[in-house]
Amino acid sequence: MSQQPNDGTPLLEVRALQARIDDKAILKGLDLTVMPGEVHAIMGPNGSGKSTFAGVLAGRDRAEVTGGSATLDGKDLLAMAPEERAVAGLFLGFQYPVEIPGVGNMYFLRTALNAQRRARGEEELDAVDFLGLAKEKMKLVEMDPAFMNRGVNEGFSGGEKKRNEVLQMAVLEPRLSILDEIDSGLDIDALRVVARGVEALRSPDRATLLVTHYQRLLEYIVPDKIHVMAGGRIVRTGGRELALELEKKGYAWVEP
Amino acid sequence: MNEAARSLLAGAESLPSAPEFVASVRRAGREAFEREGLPTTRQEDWRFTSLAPLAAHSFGRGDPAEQVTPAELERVAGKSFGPRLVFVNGRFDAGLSTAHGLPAGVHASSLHHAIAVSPALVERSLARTVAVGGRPFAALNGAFLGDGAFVHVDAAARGGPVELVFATVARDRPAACHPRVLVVADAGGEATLVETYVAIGEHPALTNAVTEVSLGDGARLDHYQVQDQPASAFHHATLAVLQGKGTRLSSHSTALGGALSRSDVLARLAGEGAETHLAGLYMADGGRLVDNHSVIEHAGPGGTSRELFKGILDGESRGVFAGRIRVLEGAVKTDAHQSNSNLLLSRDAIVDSMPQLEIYTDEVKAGHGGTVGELDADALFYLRSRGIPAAAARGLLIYAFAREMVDRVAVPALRDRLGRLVAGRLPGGVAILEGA
Amino acid sequence: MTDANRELTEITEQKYKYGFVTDVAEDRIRKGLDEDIVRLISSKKNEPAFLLDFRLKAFRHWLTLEEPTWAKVRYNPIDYQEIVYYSAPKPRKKLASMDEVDPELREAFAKLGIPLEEQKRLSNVAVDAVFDSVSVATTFKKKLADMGVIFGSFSDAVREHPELVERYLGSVVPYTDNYFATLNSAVFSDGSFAYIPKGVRCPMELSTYFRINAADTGQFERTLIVADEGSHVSYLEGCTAPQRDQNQLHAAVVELVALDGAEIKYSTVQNWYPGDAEGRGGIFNFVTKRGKAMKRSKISWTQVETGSAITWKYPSCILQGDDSVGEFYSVALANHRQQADTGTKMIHIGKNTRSTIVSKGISAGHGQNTYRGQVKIMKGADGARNHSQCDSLLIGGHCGAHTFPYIEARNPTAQVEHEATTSKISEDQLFYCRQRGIKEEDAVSMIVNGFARQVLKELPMEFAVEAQKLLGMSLEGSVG
Repeated sequence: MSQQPNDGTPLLEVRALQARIDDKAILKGLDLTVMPGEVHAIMGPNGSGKSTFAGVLAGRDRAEVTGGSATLDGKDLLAMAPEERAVAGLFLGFQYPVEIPGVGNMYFLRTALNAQRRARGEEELDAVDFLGLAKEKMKLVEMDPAFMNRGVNEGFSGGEKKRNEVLQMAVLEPRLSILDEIDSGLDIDALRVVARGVEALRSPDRATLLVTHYQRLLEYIVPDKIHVMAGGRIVRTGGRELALELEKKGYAWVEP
Repeated sequence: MNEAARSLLAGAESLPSAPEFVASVRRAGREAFEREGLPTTRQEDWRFTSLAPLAAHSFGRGDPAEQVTPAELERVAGKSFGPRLVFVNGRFDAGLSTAHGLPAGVHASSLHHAIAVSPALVERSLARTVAVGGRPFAALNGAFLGDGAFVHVDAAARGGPVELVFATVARDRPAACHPRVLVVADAGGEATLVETYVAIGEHPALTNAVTEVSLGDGARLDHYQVQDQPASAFHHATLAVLQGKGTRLSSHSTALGGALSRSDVLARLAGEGAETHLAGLYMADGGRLVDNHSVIEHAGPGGTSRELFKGILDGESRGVFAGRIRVLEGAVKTDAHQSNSNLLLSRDAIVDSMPQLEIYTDEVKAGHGGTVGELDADALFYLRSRGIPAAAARGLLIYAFAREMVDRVAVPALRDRLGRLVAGRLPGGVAILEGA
Repeated sequence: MTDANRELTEITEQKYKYGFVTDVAEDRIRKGLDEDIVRLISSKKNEPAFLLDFRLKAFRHWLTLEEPTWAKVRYNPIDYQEIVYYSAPKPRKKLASMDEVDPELREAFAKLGIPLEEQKRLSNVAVDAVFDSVSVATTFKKKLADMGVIFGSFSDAVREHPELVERYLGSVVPYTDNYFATLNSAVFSDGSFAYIPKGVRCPMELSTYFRINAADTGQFERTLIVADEGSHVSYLEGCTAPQRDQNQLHAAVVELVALDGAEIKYSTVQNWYPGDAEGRGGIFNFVTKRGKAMKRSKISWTQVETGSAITWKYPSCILQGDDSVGEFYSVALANHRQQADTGTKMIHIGKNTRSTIVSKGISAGHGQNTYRGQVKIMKGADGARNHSQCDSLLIGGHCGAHTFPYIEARNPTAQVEHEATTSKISEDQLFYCRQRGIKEEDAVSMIVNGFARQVLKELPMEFAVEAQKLLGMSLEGSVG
């Protein structure tokens, strides 16, 4: 997609975001600013609200937003339907990628890409061009082409599903990638592949938000900033040293 | 009504007098049976099960005064493994029974006795779970309502099995008996109940049992039925269960004998989060027919049901399975599965299997499966190549197929008995159990 | 209602697009049914005596039958005396070329995407167009005749090849078969006939397009396909009808004969008018379809059933010959108040006969969708195999999906397996698609098509694309 001039507008800006699931408050006033070109990591213990935060940004209606704001390139994210957020350049890598039996993986990806291109007024890719693009990106994530004709995530192993998420990200080239526990259940090889996919997308006009429980992923992708989340808020922000400190002391150290 | 139906109903009008609520059940049953008579194969539920062999006999009502010796009983019903209530031609036989070891909170008595001492409790539950229209055998049972078993499980009840033994005695002529079992479990009560059906005498016996179960919220019942009758006998069992919130019913049936053995199970999961497990093993040879019909109705949300029936058919026998899972609108988050597997051991054996799903809501996980096949030739060859004679190898493999059903029995003494009963019918006999 | 559901409702509010009526002069007989009507139909078509005899025997037998009630469908009683049993567009003179077809009719078929003009014909598909009771045009007839393939209207076949018709008519579906087949045998008006000679691989798809146009009429067509030894044919049928408030009866009979080593692939995309959202109007589609497979032959049924108020059909295979193969692939969709009771019968008679059943039922709105299938392994069918897979997809909490298999095994060496599942479109699947930028309407259509893929891939290319669109369209108003 076209380059956006960096005029100092944050790519993602979240202010005092509050959300609840049923009657339970999960996000309790969360602030976060991500500038173009940056990679951020959000770490935190289970139940701190990390995944809910990722879901709220993508428009998942499981949680209800009760206050605050979130903008992407200055546009109100929260007013948009999920597919409009995708068109605006937001990509969510799912912690548990969903299986859609019978829908070809390649067909799905092309439909998604062309839906986004159409919505942006760009020309759609024909089957041949798409195939070229997909093949190139599959090399990047070391994915066996055999997976492309299977149903979306149908019968994929945990690692294959995660590679597939990264492949989709690589093809869709989002402005903001939110990767929710992309490292869970991955072996070292797969982690390396995922990291390579993220690094390949690094550019001055894009950003990545990694949501993770473990600092292991951060050995492969070095973030610009690390945030620690607890009790529905960001409680600490720092650099690489914060992850190491967490590693040593555990999350009890930051729990409110 | 044809001749056979008329003879089955003979004597229903001259039963000893009973309270009005009992008399009205009798009346309703009699009228329904007079109206409908014996079902024919034109009726969907009886498509594969012809009652012609039954209609060929003229069954009179089994004499309640018939006597059975303890030795005679033990020969057909085995030794008791706990408290045992024995009914001879429907009449409670105190002499053959032993109430010793009845678990605390489980009150088991004859129905006749319960009607006399706590009529209100019986009236509240009797004939509430099964409609007689369209179910002529249940109607016939109602028409003869008199004695049977009443089991009241109170809230605090826990523990050991109670066994009910029903012996139909046909010494000098074909005899019919219509036992009734009424189980009422209060909220939170837990019990284990074993029903054993046997027949004694040279002539054909017809046992037409109805078991009604009401489970109050959170109650649990482990229920077993063992039908081990001679090849000349006729057996019809109706099990109707009404389940409240959070209840768990596990019902396990084994049908081994009978010229014609038919079981109808109706489980209604009315309360939220109820759970039903139905399991059945059936074996037939010769020209015998064994038929298992069931309807599991999910009416409340969040229910779970599992149904597994396995059949072993030899000779010219016929096995029929028709299991229906019905998920009503509003029964969201139901999780239901049923399965029926059949082993055909002879060229002339027949299987008719109809696993059925009837689903009226989308928030549901439901599935079924069924298989029919013969013994695995490779496995058979493998065993023989290791020196096991062909017959014994067959016996081993058949037992391996049945074993899962035997292993499901949670009462050790009953599990052993069933293992012996099943293995005893196979080539190689009970010796198979050594290797299994 | 969630946003998702609201959108689902909006996107699916598309109307039946084949609901138009064509204004052509009709030659129609008086309504009602008696022996005179049967004779009148036969005389209008100048039929040979054997055919009138067949009709009369059927009619007399029909009088002794009662309408079946075992299917899981409900409808008001049909008054068989209120139906017009014969209606034909007139005038109908012998056509010298396709371009002489009544322009109104040509236009009607063009609107349906079935061009009959020489220059616009579908490539590699020969079409027989049946309008109300009669066949109005057959394309590519000459080219097929060069290879010895006979393809055209049933009436033409009766005239030109009476010996073939007499030999095979009723040989698979006897006139005594069932209430609706017997009725058809008495009053059938036209349909398609195909004969593929020994060893010939039919060079193109054969196709019949059925259109009900006239009001108050029933459509009773009869199709007979005979594939001689070692031959091969793929046949397609499509159907539509105008939007009317009254129900119309369609009671067809299809007979397939696959002689030794022959292969018949029969595909249907059924899109009769389904009635409106409240269940007013629509076609009663009560159809008997059956094939007889001789040694080493194969009969494969593929159906996509999206239309009709009520569908009652069980395309079946009698696997008579050793090593014969039967297949049934079905997608049935019931939306609004539609009711579908459909499935198959696989009767294994020969040794080593094999059958496969794949049924995908989609229920939405207040639709009721029933799979009913019989697998019967006869005593002599040593080594017979069947595998059945029946999956249901439910959309919304007011519809129904029912699965009633009948497995009747009479031979111990047979292996029969049946599996069924029930599922819904999950919120997670929808969100996943939307997160990737795909609109909900497209996501639903994509997921439904994915669910049906195993069946759709069995369709010839020309039909598969059409069927996919149809599935999306037919989900009109499915939630909310």
